[in-house]
Amino acid sequence: MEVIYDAFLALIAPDVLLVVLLSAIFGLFVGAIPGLTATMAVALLVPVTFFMPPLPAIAAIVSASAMAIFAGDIPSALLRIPGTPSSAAYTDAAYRLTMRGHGELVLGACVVTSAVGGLVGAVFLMFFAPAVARLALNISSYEYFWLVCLGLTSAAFIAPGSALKGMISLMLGLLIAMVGVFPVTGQPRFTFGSTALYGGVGLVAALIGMFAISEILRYAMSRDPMPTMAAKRIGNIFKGLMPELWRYRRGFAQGIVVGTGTGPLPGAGADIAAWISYALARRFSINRKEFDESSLEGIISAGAANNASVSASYVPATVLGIPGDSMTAIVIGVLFMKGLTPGPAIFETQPTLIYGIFLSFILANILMVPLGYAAIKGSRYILDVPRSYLMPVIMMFCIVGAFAMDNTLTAVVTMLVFGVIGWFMEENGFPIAPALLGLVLGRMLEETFLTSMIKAQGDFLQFFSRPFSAVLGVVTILIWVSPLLLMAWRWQSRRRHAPA
Amino acid sequence: MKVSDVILGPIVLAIGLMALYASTLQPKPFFGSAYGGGLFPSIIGIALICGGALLTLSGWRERAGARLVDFGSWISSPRHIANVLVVLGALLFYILTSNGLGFIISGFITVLAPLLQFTRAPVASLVVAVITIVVVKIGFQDILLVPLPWGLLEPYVGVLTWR
Repeated sequence: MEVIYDAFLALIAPDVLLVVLLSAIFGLFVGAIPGLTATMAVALLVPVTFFMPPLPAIAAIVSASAMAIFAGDIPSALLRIPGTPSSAAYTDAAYRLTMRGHGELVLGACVVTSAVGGLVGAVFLMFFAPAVARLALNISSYEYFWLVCLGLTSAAFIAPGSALKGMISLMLGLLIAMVGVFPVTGQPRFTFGSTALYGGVGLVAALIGMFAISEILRYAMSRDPMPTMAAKRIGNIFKGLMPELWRYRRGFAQGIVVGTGTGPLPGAGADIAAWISYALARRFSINRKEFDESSLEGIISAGAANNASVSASYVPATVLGIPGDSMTAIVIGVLFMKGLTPGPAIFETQPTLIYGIFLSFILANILMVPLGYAAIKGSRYILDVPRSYLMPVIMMFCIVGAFAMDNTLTAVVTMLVFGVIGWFMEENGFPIAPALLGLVLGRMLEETFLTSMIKAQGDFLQFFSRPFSAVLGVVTILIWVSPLLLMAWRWQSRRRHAPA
Repeated sequence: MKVSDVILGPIVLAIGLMALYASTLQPKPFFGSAYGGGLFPSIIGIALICGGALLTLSGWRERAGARLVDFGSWISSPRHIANVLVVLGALLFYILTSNGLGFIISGFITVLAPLLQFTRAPVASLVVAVITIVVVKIGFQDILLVPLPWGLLEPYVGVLTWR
């Protein structure tokens, strides 16, 4: 309890509060503008946080990401364009209600459910993460290896699109992670003779390229004009909201549970939480016809789910150092840059920091109601900011942000290359998140494997010698071979049903 | 730009082959154990080869009705082609000239070119470009102390910064 108090004091220092407030406003702005995603907000924020102490740095990322996920709902309801992918699940429903004149109600529901979802997720994080950490203290490099494998595998399999392309994307990320000095022997690997690549490919530069430059390229090519806003004037968004929330309390609670449950799963980000929750709400709604036509239920459920999942996704990220989605992958990258290794030991070595991060979720979600209200009120102006002016300015910030990481132009080149790669992959249905996870976790995967191998003196069976690691190993391998088993089964059944 | 899996598959396969080949060039195992710097790249290489082969196969099955390369609608609009070229060109321009011209001059051109291309409003573009460069210069160079190159303006450093 004392730790929480210390963390609270650290978080309410005026400079930290100011950072949280500014990054919250930044997150709201970026999230609300279609074409600028929550991940992009975070990627652009990283170079600035590089110059801050760990707590304000992570708190800035936390508040920007939470706000951006909520703010994605604003253009969903007003323009029928999801501001961020995690609002896509209920964009149609929200827009339809706005067209019928219920814009205020929809936006009010979005802001309240987002805040409550995020808060519950944060409380879950605060009490669940230390418990997991206590368990995790007993795990050795064998279990770690399997956990990283499991995380990466599910990231590739759960990613939207085909699992095969997810797998290829992951492998490409891992391959890029291999660039740099091989840690065990200290010999350069895949550096093409360039000393600039000895430290590996710059993570932040790659990130800015994949999530911001690719978006600018996409904008440069897009021929779709912005649609006009569905509601010009927005009144009191909280009017008549409570009865509706109470009416759909089951969907609301279900959304929170789904979000908190899917958040810690590797590979399942806020968008997947929203999709699952929306589908479940539809499945269990009492009147499905009403649900499809004009009900708030799906919006309430999915709106709570995506924010709850953002909070909960920090459980594996902080406790094990294994990110579940691109956003937590960035956070882990930032922690590494600050010389902090996420993992169960961080609760012993940096308790104030870790609880400060958890409390910053609570702070961000409380701030969400007033700031979200202001953003909705000002949405006319935010959505009117022409992207034709915004994109070149963002490009400049990308250049300087990438440059600031190691003060060389190599980072800007990396950013450009990854921008084009990211754009090309997305165009062709290769999900980006697995590649990013591979890039962040590649080194860790290799190091845990080699440490384990040295410990085991080359005996691979040692990876199954402890009960927990054996279970993890078997599960991981089962997931690996599941597509083959599925294929074999289909082939068998086709043969059986084929006319003789 | 959508490229058919029939083309993407062999590309992935080729990357896998390259990774596999490059892994054999790594120094051999250490400490008498059989695992060196080439192990992981070789596993990744094999996985990419399998993935590329499967992708080619699925692309081949669905080859009917799909074009080999579909550029999308932007390729038929000169304005949008110019948009893309200006963005890529501006980034390349910054990479090539920022050390020589310095951040202020090079960055200004880098942000102005796409602004003009996207908006076609010279005055507004100029204003936005100036504000952007001033904000970035003060924020990153003066406050965060990022050593952005001075280039041609080196002699005027004393006037241009308060530090």
